[in-house]
Amino acid sequence: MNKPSSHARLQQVLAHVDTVFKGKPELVTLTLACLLSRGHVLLEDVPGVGKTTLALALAKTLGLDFRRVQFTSDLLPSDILGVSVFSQDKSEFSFRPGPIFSNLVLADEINRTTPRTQSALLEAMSERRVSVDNDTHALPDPFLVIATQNPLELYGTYPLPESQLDRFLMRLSVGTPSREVEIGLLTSRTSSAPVDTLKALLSPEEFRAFQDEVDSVQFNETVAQYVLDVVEATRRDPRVKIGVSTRGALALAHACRAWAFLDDRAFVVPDDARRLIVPCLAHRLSLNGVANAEKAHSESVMEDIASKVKIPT
Amino acid sequence: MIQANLERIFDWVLYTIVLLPVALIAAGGGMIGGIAAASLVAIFASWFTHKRKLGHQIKQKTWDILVASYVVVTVIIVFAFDFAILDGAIQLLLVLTCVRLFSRLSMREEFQIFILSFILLAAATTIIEDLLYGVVFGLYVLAGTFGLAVFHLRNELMERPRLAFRSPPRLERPYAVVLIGTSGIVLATSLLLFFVFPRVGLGFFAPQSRDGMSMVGFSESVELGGHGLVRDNPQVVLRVEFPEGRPSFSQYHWRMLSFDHYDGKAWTQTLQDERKHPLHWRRPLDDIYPQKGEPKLLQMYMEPLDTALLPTLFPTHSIKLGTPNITMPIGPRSGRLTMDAYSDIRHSVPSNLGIPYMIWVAEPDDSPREKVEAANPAFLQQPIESQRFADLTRQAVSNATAPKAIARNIEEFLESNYTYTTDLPEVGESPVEDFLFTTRRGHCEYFATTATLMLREAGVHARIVNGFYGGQWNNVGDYWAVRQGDAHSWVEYFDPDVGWLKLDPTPPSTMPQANAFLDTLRKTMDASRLAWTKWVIEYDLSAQIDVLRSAADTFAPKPSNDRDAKREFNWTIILGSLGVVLVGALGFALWRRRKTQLDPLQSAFVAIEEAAKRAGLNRRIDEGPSEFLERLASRGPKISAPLRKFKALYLGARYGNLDVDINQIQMVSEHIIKYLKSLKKDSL
Repeated sequence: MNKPSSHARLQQVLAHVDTVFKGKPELVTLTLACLLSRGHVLLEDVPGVGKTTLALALAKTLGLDFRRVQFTSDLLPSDILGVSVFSQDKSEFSFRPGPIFSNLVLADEINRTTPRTQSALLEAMSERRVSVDNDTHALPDPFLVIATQNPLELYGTYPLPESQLDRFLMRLSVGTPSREVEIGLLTSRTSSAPVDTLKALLSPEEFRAFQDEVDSVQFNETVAQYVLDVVEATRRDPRVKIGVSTRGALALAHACRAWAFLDDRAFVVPDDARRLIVPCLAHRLSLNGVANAEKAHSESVMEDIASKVKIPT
Repeated sequence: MIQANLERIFDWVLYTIVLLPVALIAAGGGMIGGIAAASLVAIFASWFTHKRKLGHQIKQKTWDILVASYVVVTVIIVFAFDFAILDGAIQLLLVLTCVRLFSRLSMREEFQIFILSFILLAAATTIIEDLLYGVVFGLYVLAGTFGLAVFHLRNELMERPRLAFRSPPRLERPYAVVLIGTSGIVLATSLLLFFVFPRVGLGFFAPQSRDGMSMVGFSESVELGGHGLVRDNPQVVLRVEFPEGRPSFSQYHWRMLSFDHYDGKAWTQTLQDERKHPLHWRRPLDDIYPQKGEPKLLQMYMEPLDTALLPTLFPTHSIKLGTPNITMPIGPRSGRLTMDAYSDIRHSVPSNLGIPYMIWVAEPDDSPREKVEAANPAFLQQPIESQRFADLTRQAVSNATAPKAIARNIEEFLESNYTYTTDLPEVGESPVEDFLFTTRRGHCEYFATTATLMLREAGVHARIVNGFYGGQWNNVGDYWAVRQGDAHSWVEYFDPDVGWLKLDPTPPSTMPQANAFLDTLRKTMDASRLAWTKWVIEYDLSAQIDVLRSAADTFAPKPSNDRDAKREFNWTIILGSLGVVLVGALGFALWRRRKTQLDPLQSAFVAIEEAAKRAGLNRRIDEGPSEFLERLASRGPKISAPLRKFKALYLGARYGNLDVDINQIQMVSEHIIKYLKSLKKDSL
């Protein structure tokens, strides 16, 4: 069993975030689980539903250094990664780190920038270091990216290729809040952003410690068999051109550990895997031409596949 | 992996189960004129209109008015024009089916088509019951079972939208194989039930629609020339099985009736006195037909004939209705036997039913006996008074004086000097004299009539006998088949020291060789038809007892030739069968146990799951144990606490390797199961 303080602390984090990002407790939990398992999150939704608020709220509550990068079509890789600048005083080049050198980076509208700039970010996400002018600079620990993407507006955008989506541990959709929540927002919102009122409940060190604790959560072979059954089902499905890779299975396993940790358990149960299948695996499916022509959504295909796989008891 | 469009499969199966009974009704003549054509056109048209959803554009009210109008018209036709009610009902069913095929939209309406097709199939039994019905019925059971399974599958997909996707649902090979296998099992089980279910109707409900076969030459007045008309008729009239082996003699004369009076052109029966004495099966006929040796049993099955006469094999010792196992005291096939002054045997069973009966036949014996009853003088009637006939008779008889010698000489004379032909000569004023002096050729009736008259001319009592001669062995069904084309005439003459003896003066004819393949095909069809009629249409209590006795003979055979001997159990077969069953059951149990071996922990969860299922809460295939237990807890507040406790213990032990007391888990699970079992079924 986890130390009582870990679960309680994390519950406090969730409750604290809920004060500004209302009505979506499960989304917040999923995002936190993703961060705890050292994964990056892709929030895919229309503008104005609170993607930035969520990222900022989490960053503030977790006590993480936060940077927001608004991706535009003229953004260069160096604008993100940093650039070497020649110092006349010292007669040498010195590296000026870019906004990516933060604990939590919000890559807003990542699909608006060129593939070159996207690749620079994605490579840094997987390597957790930056190479500029033959110098390698390690990114801070923890280093997490919350990227956002508008799935509807395709004009003038560069949607992330499916192979690059694999870098994100989860792809989540925010959705509009419920009517009650919106009424609450309208009646209570003041001119100052409520997220500014949030306090840091953790420090980066504590968050790192929680991440280490997540790694020690037990992942039973039975659950592993189940995860592989689902993965194999995606590879056999006639609608899927390319199924989930081993990286995807690993990602799901990591997420399950974090989810169990948040539920105050030291072990993963099959229900955890079932819950996280769609967030962790749906964006890793590459649908074939027929499914694409029929505008099938990978989430519904993934849900359909998962619903047919027998779960262990 | 075979992939097929589920919708397309369903459409094909639906139309198959509609067209099968429709085809039966058409084959049985149950569809009159325009209705037949209109129905078939409508059925085929509905296939295309349904694809384009054209039928849905017509309002349901319009369909209702159409159907109601047709009902009114049918009622008027039935009562005003004396149309058969049953036929009217069948036409109405056809119209309803066509309307539903056009207008089907919901699952309920498609299910109605299943029901209508079944009613049509049942209605078809009233107009057709031959082997074709059996074949179509089997196909219907297979198609119907498969179709209902596909129907259910479609419904499940429609009711679970998240499973439905835009591309058509597909039927995979394993599922299709299971469906087809299930259909076969349903058919086999239906057949087993059919044969085993007690027949309490005593055959009273056997279809009465079989018309008796019209038999030329077997009425009470027969004109010369009738047999030639049926010479090529292959229709089987009699089937004979030899459970005790075939008789020793090779010539089979199947006796039907005889005549005494010949008026120059036709034979008639004139003896009215002492007609139709009751004939008990224990009354041996060896005083009429001299015979020797131990009689052998022949099991006969006569097709419905348009006559009450019962064929017997010369020389019959005794005769009895029924089968060796049972003779029904009551029922449509129970009846009495009578014998008249001609030794003709008649039954009282309705003419539209096939009749099983037994005869015992011994070997003919022409040795002198004591106390032979004199023959009736009517069998000396002689219509021909011409001198040349008398002279020719004397020539044929030669110097013979004894009846046997006279008969032999007449036989030799006719066989040597006259030719057999199936070409019908024109019947003149005196057919016999034409035959003897002009044409010098003819078929069996001419030979038999001439021989009878010659014998009478020579002072020997004689009568012409009509019946069948020979037959053919059906190696497919293992029985002897006698056809209409085997119709024959011969002679019986009376020897005062012996009794009635047989004489067949007709020379043998060479029959053309039948095509071997067609012959086998015909035999197979006949054997199938017999099996269908015997084991389905006319399957009654006696036949059922026959089946059970046969089964008993297999497991506990009786020593042969000893009817009173007790059955001795064939322990080899019995123990062997039991052993196979036990080994099979044991193997299955071991396989199941191995497949589903659970530890005590999992067994506890499974037990809760099954108890919840009984109470109406099923776990989905993709529902994990935590979610399921939480859902169960939310439905049963009284056990929510123990359920959550069980959940924590179970999950910890199962997935967290926590050291949990299994007894505690079992105790909690038993408490939960006890509560769930106390609930009413499907109450959760």
